[in-house]
Amino acid sequence: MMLCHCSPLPPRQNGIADYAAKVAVALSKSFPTIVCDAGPFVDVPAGITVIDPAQAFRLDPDETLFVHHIGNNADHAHVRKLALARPGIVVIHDLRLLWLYNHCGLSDTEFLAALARSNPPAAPGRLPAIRRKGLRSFDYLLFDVLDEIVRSARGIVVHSEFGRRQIALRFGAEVASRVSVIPHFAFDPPRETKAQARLRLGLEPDAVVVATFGFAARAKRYDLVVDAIAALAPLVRNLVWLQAGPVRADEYDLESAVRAKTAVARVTRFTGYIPAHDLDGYVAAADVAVNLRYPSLGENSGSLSRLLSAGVPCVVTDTAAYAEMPDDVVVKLPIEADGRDLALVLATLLERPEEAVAIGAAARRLAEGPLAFDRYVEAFRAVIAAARAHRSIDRGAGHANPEHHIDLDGASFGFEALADSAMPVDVQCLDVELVGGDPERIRLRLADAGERR
Amino acid sequence: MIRALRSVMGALRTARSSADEARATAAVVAEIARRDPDAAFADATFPAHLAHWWPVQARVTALDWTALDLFFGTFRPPESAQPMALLGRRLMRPLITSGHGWVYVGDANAARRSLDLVEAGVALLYRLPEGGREHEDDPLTRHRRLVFDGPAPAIGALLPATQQHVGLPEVGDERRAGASHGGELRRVAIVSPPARPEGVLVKATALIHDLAQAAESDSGNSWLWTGPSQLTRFALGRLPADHRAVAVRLIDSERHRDLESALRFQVNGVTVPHRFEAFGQTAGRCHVVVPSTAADALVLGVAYRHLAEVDHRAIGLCIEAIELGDAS
Repeated sequence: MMLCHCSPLPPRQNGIADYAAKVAVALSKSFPTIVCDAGPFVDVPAGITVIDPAQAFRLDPDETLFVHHIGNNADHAHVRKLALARPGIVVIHDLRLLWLYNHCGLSDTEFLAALARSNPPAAPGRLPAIRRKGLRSFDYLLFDVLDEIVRSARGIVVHSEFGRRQIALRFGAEVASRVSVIPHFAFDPPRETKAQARLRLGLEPDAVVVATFGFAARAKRYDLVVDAIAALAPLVRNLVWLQAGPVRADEYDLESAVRAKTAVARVTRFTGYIPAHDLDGYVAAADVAVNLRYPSLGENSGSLSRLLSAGVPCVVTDTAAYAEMPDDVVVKLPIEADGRDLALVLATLLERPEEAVAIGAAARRLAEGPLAFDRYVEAFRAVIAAARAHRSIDRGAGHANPEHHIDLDGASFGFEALADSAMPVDVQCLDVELVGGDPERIRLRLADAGERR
Repeated sequence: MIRALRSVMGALRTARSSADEARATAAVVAEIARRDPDAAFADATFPAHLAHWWPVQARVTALDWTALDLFFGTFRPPESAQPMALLGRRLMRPLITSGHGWVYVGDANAARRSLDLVEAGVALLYRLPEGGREHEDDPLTRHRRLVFDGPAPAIGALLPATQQHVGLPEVGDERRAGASHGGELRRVAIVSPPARPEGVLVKATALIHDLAQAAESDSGNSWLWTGPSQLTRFALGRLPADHRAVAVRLIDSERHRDLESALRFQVNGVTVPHRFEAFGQTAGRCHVVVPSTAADALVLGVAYRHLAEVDHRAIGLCIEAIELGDAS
């Protein structure tokens, strides 16, 4: 049997590309392996054949098991297509795919039909407005557009119990029975020491480096980081805030936010995009890292897995998959924390190096133990064996739960389906209204601006 | 493993039979063209077409175009800006109106599915079943038929009522006209089959590709700009087993740069090694050998890293032709 991984590959600026390449190479030792990537100039790992996704139809379906790495961006457009055309194992890197569906070349009609399938009760109220005015931020809560990918899968891999729970709530027990939780593996630790990395990267040996990694997105709570750095800059000598990743002003204008605060601008260093092989140097150079998410869309962080391997103490948000991490491995910031709270946490870590060292050591133990790559590969082999045994699936099984479930604060909340046909079409804002006294159930209610007044 | 081996052996056999079929159809087409200078041809077996090997220019189209999937349906036939799936049988219209049209449809089953073309006035060419005998209930036998006495596999023709035999020489002692259960059957000779071609040059204007733009030409020269995608796919159809060397000719263009390292080639979607033969800094020829195990409906992918913006148009390589030749 041959494995066909459908994923972006390096050098695409996509963490899933690094992940998939590493997994494909490891599994190629057990199975003939090919990778479907839409780019003709990808880096081809040793022992791997790359095939044009448009010609994946040439692969013998009886001899090929597809592994689809699905993430919420346009690099995964070909993965979406193949996941539907050639069902296999789906590795879900993001539990919400609306951005992908909005950028994968679907016609308006196809896109709206996908939304309608994703959340039939909400569709009559929202689709006319989306057709006229486009998506609003709360549409990312209403439409996960995960249904067709999940339903067609022979096996589903998620990285957290949070992910499994979300799928079970959303799609029911039959689909959930195909879900395997394999935690995101830890990458190899950096080869450089902190001193070596800093020398190479032009950082002062005695600098106090607070680092953030990856694309600067709003959900990574850079507003808190800016406020925290503003509070720390006058107090911490030689403070450097290293933003190791690209900034896209149209997504979140971090550079303007930094420029607006002179104290922050003075200590901030933007690196732009960093390829995976350089990323380790920035990880090694960090004293403390901040890796916040809110709201979380169920994703895991490749940067975090590198930081754990390197033993860098890391501050995360106490939500979704991050909440599952052992308490001694990361510092979990409550979702309601603000910049001052983050500054206090960072100051504590910087002032008490013994605590930072203890957290880093625990992180390294986790990386070398439960998150070790060998364990990941073993677990994945078991998923492959199960998928091979489960070649025929009942596409009709696993009816969606009529209610939709979203994560607002790390726990899973069900909400009554937005079936109200009287729902206003010109929704201006999202109101959340608690219904009854059961904290496990809230009801979301959409209201337009007029109604709010 | 046995299954994989079976697949490889199957591909090898197919490649050999493609060589025979290319030779047989080329001989038939040459004979007809010699007898009837107005004869027009189409190969309706796209994407497994053979027409590049014929000694005359032929249209390439799909017989069952509604069954073309999204991949092959997007390819543009020569001199058309529309994809194959939209054009469908419209490509055969000039043959129907000419009264001298011949369409190669593949095997007898395809011929049975295409009898409407015969009714419309087009002659069908098809591969006769090996050692097969005609069944009197076969709808093909109700039509006027020719069997060409040429290289194997045997090629037959179904003639419309309006079409003459174009003076094809009959093989006297095997003539069997006016069969009781249907149309007449004549065995005709191929007087001088064309020599085995050394190679084939598919000019830019004859290439079948997935670009949105058509080839351009001037003073007898033709060229095709790739772009805006880095990857361009060319449908080469069936390559006979002994003609698996492919060379892509690049016209000298100041837009070209870094040709030694900025090119990648794919055969049926899989990256294959290539050799670049430079003609100066900005022109050259790229050589690829198609693996003998590559299946029919062969697609060559040509990828070029650098796209240039010219007149609001992203262009890449300037391709003059693709050569198909002997790999040995």
